[in-house]
Amino acid sequence: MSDPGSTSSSGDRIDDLLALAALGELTEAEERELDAALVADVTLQDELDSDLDTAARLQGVNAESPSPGLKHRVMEAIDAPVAMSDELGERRDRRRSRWLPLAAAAAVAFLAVAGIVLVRNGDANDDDVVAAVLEASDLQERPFDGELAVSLTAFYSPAAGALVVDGLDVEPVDEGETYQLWLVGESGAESIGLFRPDDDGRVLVAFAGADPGDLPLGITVEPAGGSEQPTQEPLATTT
Amino acid sequence: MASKIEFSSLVERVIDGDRQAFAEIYDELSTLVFGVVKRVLRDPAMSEEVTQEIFVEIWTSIGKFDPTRASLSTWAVTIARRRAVDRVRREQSQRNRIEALGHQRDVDERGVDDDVVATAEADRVRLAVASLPDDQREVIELAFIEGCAHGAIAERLGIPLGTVKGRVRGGLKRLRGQLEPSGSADGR
Repeated sequence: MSDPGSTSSSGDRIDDLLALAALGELTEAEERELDAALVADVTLQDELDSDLDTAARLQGVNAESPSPGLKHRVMEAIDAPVAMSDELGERRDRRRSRWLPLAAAAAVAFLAVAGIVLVRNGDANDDDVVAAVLEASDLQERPFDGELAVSLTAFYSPAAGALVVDGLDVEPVDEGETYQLWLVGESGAESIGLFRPDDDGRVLVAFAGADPGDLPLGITVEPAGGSEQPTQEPLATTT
Repeated sequence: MASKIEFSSLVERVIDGDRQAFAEIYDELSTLVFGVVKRVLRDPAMSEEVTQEIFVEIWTSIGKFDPTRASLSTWAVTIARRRAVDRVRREQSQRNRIEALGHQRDVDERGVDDDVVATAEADRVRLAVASLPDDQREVIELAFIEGCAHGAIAERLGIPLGTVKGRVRGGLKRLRGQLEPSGSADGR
């Protein structure tokens, strides 16, 4: 959206370009033109940075929460192969290789417990149930407290009739053990199902048919196959 | 809002490919980014789609972020605005629409104040904007509070494009002097 007719001098043109940069409306040609001007006059960089900072603060008054499901979609999207600089890709590969020995013990379970279908990560059916829950208009979100993971949340949709546990960097459990999710009622704990994190500490499991109502949820480590009642103190709970 | 040091640490971890750190950055910035995009695009579903693209860009381009030049939130908002405007341009091109950016307000009956997070920062910003001369205030509000492109502003106010750009620059310069440095600024 250039407006050559409005410029009468190079100073005016620079002002136009700086305004368009703050508006996010530079064309590619204008962007190159501004880059050249920034090289020619180093003081312009401060002008541009100040304008962008002020524009960002102005736009900050419009802050608004997206749907809870967007975070899940974003985290899935960054897992897909994406183009990035060689330098960044190599640095991330190096970091990932450091964690592989630790993560090797973490396998993914695929279990059916007490009539509740527990679907493992990455399963096509799992994706369908997860999507049905996270996209539901009646989605309820219950973050877990505890040190099991920094980010661990249960999502429940009455309409979808399923509960999803979504976690990042969840600590691996030893071979022969599993995490067990419980519904904690007045008469005791009722098992919802079992899960394990994947090699990256990711948990994304769906429990079709689970209905937590208003009751809190808890997670314990149990022997592989699960327990009828919790045998250890919960590592994470919802309120 | 995370402190400068926490943000700096998060950025380093994201550069290393730490997904947990990225999730924390998402938590800090998602309302800001989504708000900017939605104000431009209006459509919630399209706004979420573009917000997702923006966070993927943040993930893949975090190495380009220079904390000596901008805060992380400024960098993210700059990307958000550009991406949202690009999407409008593409949509308009595809549909050959005459309607300019921002004119969808006719079907969006919500007021400017709806969905606005009531914070001290927002109050400071609004106070500063209110103190601008009328001609600059009008353009600044349309551009950055309502999310209109400069072509739509020119059309709406009946003034030349160059005048809009001049008032944007003048308004931003004046606001720079009135807004305190962002105290909770992340990253620098």
